[in-house]
Amino acid sequence: MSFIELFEAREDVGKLLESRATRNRSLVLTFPLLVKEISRGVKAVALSRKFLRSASVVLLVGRGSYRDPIEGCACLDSRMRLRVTSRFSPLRLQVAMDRIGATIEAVTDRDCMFLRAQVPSKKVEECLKLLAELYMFPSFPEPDVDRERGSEKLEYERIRQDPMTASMTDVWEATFPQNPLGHPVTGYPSTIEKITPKTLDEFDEKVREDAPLVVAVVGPQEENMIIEFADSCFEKVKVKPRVEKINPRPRRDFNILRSALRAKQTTFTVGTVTSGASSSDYPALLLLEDYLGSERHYAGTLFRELREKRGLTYFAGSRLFALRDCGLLTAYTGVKHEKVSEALRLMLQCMTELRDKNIPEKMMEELKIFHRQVVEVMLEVPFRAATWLATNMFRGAEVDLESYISKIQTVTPENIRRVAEGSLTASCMALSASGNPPDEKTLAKIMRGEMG
Amino acid sequence: MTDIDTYKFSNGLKLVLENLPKSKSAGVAVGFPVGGRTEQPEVSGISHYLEHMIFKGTKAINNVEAAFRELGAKNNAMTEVDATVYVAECPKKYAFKTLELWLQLLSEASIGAEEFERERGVILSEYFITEDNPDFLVEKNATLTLFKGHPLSSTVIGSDETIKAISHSKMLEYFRSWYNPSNAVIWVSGDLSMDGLIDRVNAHDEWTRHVKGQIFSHKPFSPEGPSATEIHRQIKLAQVSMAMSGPTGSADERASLQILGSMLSSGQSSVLRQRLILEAELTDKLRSIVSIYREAGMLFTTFAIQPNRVPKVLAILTKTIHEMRENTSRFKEGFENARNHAIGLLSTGIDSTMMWRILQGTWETLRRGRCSWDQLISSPETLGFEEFKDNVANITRPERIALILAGDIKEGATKTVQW
Repeated sequence: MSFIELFEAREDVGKLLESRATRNRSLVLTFPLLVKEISRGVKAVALSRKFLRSASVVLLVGRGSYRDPIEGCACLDSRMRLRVTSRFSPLRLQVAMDRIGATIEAVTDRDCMFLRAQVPSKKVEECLKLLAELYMFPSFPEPDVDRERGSEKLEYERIRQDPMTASMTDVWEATFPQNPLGHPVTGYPSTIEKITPKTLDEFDEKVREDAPLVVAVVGPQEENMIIEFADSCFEKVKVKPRVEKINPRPRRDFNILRSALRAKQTTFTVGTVTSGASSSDYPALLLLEDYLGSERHYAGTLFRELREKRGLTYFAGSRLFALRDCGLLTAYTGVKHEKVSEALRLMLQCMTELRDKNIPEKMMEELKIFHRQVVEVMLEVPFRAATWLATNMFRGAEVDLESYISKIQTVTPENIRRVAEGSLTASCMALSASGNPPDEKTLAKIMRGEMG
Repeated sequence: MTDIDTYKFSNGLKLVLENLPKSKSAGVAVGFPVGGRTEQPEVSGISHYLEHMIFKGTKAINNVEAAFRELGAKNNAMTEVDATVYVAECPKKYAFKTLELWLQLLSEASIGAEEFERERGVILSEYFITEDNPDFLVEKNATLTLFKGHPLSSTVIGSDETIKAISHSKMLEYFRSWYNPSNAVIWVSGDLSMDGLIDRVNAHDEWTRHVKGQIFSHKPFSPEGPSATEIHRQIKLAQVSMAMSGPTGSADERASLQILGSMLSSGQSSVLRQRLILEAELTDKLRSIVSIYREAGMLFTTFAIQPNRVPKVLAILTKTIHEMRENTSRFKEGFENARNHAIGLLSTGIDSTMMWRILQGTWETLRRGRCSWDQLISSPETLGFEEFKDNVANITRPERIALILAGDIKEGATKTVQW
């Protein structure tokens, strides 16, 4: 059973799981991890790793920039949670974090917000209490909001002045134009300026009302003990989880977004619309990402073709951003301005190959084994493991390693080809380039020439 | 908690096993005391270039990445001022094979002329990234500026000119003379046996035989600052960085630098953070790094700000450093918090990823001869405020400070600063 179904609005599934949860209270999975529904709409997942000195606590709040009433609102909301609460002044909050030796960050994604902490293992309970404080007692006083507006605008500028971050941000806008998925998570300086304490209050009201909450903890303590801590901190939180379908809205043709920047090289990113993490295509997409060159390794096709064989670049790879209902598959690189056309052609050729022919069986098997091993290793790293568990649970992917791997095992070369055929089309694909790239016409010509 | 066991081969090679009971994953690292400090200025960047060339394989292994992938291993490498370390994380069952793969690659690297030339483009692309990103730009200039006159002064990556000047023959010569197993450290973390590891290393004769190669000698660091670097660029935000050097001979000195980092800039409630927010409307996060080399440590802090606020920021930096030096007792109240924050950073840092864990372990062993996580974490725990105060008075001396500014800033902006 996929645990995202715990958040499903569908009544039958809700009832089935409710009865299961009532019977067991907590669910022990085949992989040594414990999942519990603390209260309505609030789930906790704990994984114990005895040899760790530290722990990681991740709070995932199921509302992100896709639901921004004004672009940048979710991002500002998560920043504010880390700044001040209705009971803790900024300084008191900062001292509280330092006292327990915690490093806490607020991160906003398209469909959710994270409060993520790394903390010495002895302080897990205090850290959970602190994160509960941030979640339950947000406060939006104007002077603090104003300060964080400044931070967000500066973050925007930082992204814009580096071709790598600019291109990787722009690819969302290029792939999802006129869609709330597309705008930068930070918003734009002009929209950030418009976000008021009232906007944030209303946004927060929605969060309390219907945004699912996942608490994931990975540390050396027993799973039961961790879940008990989480239970005591979040039992009073009750939401009516409502997960609206995210609509990628198909386009008619390739979309190109080009930004000029004084830089030594140009970074470009090809983006394409895919299915999401709750889809049956998700395992095939993960292997497709690995084949092209995910962050999990350096043995991908893009890395080999662009860097190893031709020495065109330092970095070339692929990254899949799978939300629940749809996703964005990216392929990126940074090269000398005059090499953009050559590198783009090569990149697109690597991608069309996936559409035009099956991955060899032997390679397929290697990818599957590799994927399993990498995930197993990743699950021993508290910060990564907690983030993976929380996002998979929220987005409808498996959290139980065995179930997750069994789905990866069923992927065939035909599945990958079918997924590639569905995504590598003019209506799904887009390009963002930042630095000093060729003009739009030239880039469009290359896209059409290679992709057909 | 983990045990750390060390075995020394007769040629000097050190093998360290960090036992991680019940861990399903393992980490394997091999490090050499080679880096920016072992380079001639005209070939600055050669150690990092060599690190890249190791991944080109040997006569027997032509696709290194596929070889790692077959073992479910993720690899990486890092060249620092004083060390080059190759790391891989993998499932426990492939730890021995991963070790053997590194041993082969590092002793039999072919470094073909054609691949060497092709890789130059890759290195230049990496260099351009460090030039295009202001954060990286100031960071690579920090050690160069702070340790001026000492071998630790290096950007590691080199420059456009020096990267282009490195010849194939020079590279081969550098590899042969500096990658010497007698000086190397092999670090393994996992639920594994030391005997098994020793057997695997012994099976590779070239790793256990006595080789006469080059080794750098440590040189005491005498700070000659204050020093400064200005990098003028037409970018919207200015990147401000301050670096301080501190002695690292004793555990107390190291702990002092770490706690000072938390007290000054990395802690949420840190002094500099509070003041910059309040007085200069700083909105960026302060990024802070403490690097501990053998002869000295570096506390590096950086942030972005609107160029017109740079003079105000510089005034706050100088005022804070002055107060820290002259009146450390004022900060006694925040000492406990800063200490907890520093301990938190140390312990979460070890667990942050397997690669980071083995990288830190190897660095520590290369620099100090041994590594003990317990000791590293307990040093800040046992440090008293009086010892801290004395050390801070030393670290904040003007000659120990470097300022690095990048962006659309006024020419000579650093010259007005009086530490």
